[in-house]
Amino acid sequence: MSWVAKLAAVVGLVALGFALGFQSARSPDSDAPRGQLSGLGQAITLAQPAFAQEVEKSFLEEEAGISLYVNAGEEIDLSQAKALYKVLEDETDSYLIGTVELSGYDEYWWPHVWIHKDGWIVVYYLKEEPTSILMDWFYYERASGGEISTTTLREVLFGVASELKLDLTKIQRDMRYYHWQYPEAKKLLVVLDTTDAGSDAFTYTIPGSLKLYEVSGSHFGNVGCCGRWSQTAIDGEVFKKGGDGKYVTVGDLAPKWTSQGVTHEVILRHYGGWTGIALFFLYG
Amino acid sequence: MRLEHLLILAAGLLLLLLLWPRGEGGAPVGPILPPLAEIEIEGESLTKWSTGLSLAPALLGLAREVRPRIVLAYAALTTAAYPAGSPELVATAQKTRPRILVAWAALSTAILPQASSEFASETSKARPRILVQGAALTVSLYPQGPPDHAANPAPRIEVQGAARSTLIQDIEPSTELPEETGGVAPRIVLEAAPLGETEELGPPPELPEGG
Repeated sequence: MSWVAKLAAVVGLVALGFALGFQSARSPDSDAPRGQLSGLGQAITLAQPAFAQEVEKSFLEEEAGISLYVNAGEEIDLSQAKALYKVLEDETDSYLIGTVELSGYDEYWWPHVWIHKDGWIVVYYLKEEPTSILMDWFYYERASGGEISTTTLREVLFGVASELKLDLTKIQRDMRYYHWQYPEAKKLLVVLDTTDAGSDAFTYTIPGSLKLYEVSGSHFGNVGCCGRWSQTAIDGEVFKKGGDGKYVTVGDLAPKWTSQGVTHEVILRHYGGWTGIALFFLYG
Repeated sequence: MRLEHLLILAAGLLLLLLLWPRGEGGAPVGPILPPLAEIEIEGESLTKWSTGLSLAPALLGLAREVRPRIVLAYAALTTAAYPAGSPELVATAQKTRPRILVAWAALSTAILPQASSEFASETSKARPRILVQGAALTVSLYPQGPPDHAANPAPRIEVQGAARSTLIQDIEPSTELPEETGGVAPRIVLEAAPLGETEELGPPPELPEGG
């Protein structure tokens, strides 16, 4: 056989080999929605096996809501970490759980913190609290507004990490948010509006195709004294309001304000100082 | 190049073309989902921030090793944060939703003066989860409390209910007691409380032979 024939045969075999290799390596589910098998024209929903449904819930799944966690990448000396707690709820050779102060806030705002000696730190609020408790208005005010650069949980996480002399660059890079009661939620959107001009407004529309898990708000007022007030209304009804002084109030939005496919209007009003509203959308 | 060589080459290339994956689709893989919808926001001078939510699987496994414990909410924190008797603590206690009554009891005991009218109204609203704390609460605040509490206790454990009742009723010093006991503060006197019917215990069962 001449070299041309051999070359043609080799090229053909190589081409065949590549083609077969591509077919076998390509995952049939890579472009398919989760739980569906490809190529058969049929959808098969995978059900959770019975034994998996009986796995006991972890303490975080039982009690935690919104959280911020990180693995510091190094072991943590629990004897040093213990001093950071305001209230220590449990202590073992492996971990500490309790409450850590959020500077500048009263006890309602102090999150729980779980520190594991292997380097895991989870800072979280209890599941009864709305996700909007993340809004750190006092930091935002000190920073003269602008972008949202931190949250209440982030402030505590960095405070703990700093005291323990952990790598803050790694903390910033690797920290993640997660809501333990909404494991399917994939995105958190925060929309913030402020005014010192008496009133301001904006609208939001949640598409009908979006899977919405929670919408909550954080209303802030720093209006001074006396006879001053601030208010956030949605679709003409008061969501949160306050009188004189400086305050933050949080809460979930009522179902009528989270109906999808319709435009909702938010109106801020105040008398004195300034006011702000931050809406937190959890969806996936 | 001879014809058969060309045919072999062409066949190989044709096979390659037929079997090569086409773009990103290839064989049908099920319904194509639309991209994740976004919430539409309209307004001036708005600030937006977003982040993804995700869970590290290793964290969940580690969390399952944590043993059960009593979770303290901000009620316990309040006890520590305000001095006893301060108006701030009274106000906070009225708003606090304790998860554990220990916090409530310790909280109330610390913040309100003994036998004050404010505490009477507070305890009438309290719904104890652990009655022991309710009893301890009452003991420390009422040397000789109003009879209303004796009439309205809602004990979950009868012994504790008895102790509670015993403590809050007026105690008349007995004329038969030595004089030096006249000033003794009330204490738990179980014998004075109705504990329910008692059962007579029979003789122990006989042990089997050769056991």
